[in-house]
Amino acid sequence: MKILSYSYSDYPINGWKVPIIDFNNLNLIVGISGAGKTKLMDSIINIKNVVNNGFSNSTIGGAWKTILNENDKKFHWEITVSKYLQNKVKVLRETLSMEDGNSKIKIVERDKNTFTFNGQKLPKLSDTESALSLLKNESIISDLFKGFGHFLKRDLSITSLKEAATTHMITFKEKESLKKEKNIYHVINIEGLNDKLDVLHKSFNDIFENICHYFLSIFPFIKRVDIKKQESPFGLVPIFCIKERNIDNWIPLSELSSGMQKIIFMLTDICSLPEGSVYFIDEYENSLGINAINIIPEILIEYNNKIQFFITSHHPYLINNIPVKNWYVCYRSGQNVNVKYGKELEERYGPSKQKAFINLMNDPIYSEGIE
Amino acid sequence: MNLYIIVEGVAEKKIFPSWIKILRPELKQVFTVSQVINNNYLLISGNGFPSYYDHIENAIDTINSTKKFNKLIISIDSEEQTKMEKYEEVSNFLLKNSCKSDIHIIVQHFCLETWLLGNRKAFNF
Repeated sequence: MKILSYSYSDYPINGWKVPIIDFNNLNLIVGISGAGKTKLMDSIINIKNVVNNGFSNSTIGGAWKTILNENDKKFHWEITVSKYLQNKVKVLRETLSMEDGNSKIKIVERDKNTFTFNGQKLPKLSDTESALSLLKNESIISDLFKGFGHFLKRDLSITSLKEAATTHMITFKEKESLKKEKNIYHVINIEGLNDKLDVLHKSFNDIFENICHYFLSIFPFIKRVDIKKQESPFGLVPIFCIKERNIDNWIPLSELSSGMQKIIFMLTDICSLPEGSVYFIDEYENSLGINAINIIPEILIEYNNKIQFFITSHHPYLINNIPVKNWYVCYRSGQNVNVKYGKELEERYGPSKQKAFINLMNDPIYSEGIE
Repeated sequence: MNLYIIVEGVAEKKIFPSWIKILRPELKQVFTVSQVINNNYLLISGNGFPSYYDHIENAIDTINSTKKFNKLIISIDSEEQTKMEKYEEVSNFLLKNSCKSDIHIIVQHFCLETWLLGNRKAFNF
């Protein structure tokens, strides 16, 4: 799936508004702290929660308007979700249509009283679930529903990294089945990083090799990487290990620095995500050294034909190395989050020979990002 | 008269426009090269990031390629060097980078903030 266009408003709940934004494959969201970058990203991620996970306490209310591309078909999906007291969430309005030449075919139209699918009126269905979820088994909707399952935003905090480096969630039977099926779409859901790398090593070796190639190029002091078996209360479990030059022992993933864990986590995600996935990275540079920061733009550019990226960053290297046309400069007026498109800035900065980051830092659109 | 002004930090971004407004009221600040027409000045700050000489080199490239600017003003902190040492260091760098406009170097000894500490009335936030 690719998000082509997006807008969000939680008015009148809190008053936040994000205007219609057209997105690229690679989207670098920049702006001063507090300009609304994370707000924008979180509101996009929330639509995945609305569709895939059903409504939960963490679901935010509001109205979303999106244009999505799934299997070369353009869908217009709009949903208004209301959140009442005690966190009760309800769909107030929802429409889904598909572009067909110059016209649009209505697929779903729903409000508080009626629910139609392909022009047929349906009996009353749950208003605490989106139509995409309720009708996910319908062929016209199933791919769209599955597409939301390939949105991924990692919590790259030290606690989460530690958890990912030590957790073994899948059973031997599940792992054998994953290895046998060789379906990359199932790999996305493996939580433990050791398990995921083990499955990739056994069943998708080209992907595993690619991850190792990048990892070794970032950390040249590592001589070898491998998957070793280790005793645990659950029996033998796979452990991703490295061997450094001049150190004889294998070092397990859980013992690596948080920066190294973060890099292997991100590399594993990016290299193994299936085509059509949407990956969100919020300020990846935190806790990373220059060696690790510098490789990421190259990887993003290499993979952005396959994966849609949403990245926020303050780092000069990343900002200088992502084409200006892929920037979205966030600025905020009260609760209205606005963006200036990079393609407009390309023209604005055109004759300047200063680096893109310096042009951006000196642009009042950036430096005076909050009114 | 169009000026290209290079400064090091963030404080200069506030102070220089205030001073220019008084000293050269005919000059209007713009924020991009494409906005430069006549009696404009473009103030580029490194925002405290290193690579100061990169910014000077890129400013000269811009001046030479656009031919829009009459003067390049470089405002730099001497920090631990003497005022003369810093001036010579910048002058030597400029010898290797030919600029089609006039150049004026301002050495802030030790830095802009020390001026402000010594001249409390020079700028009132």
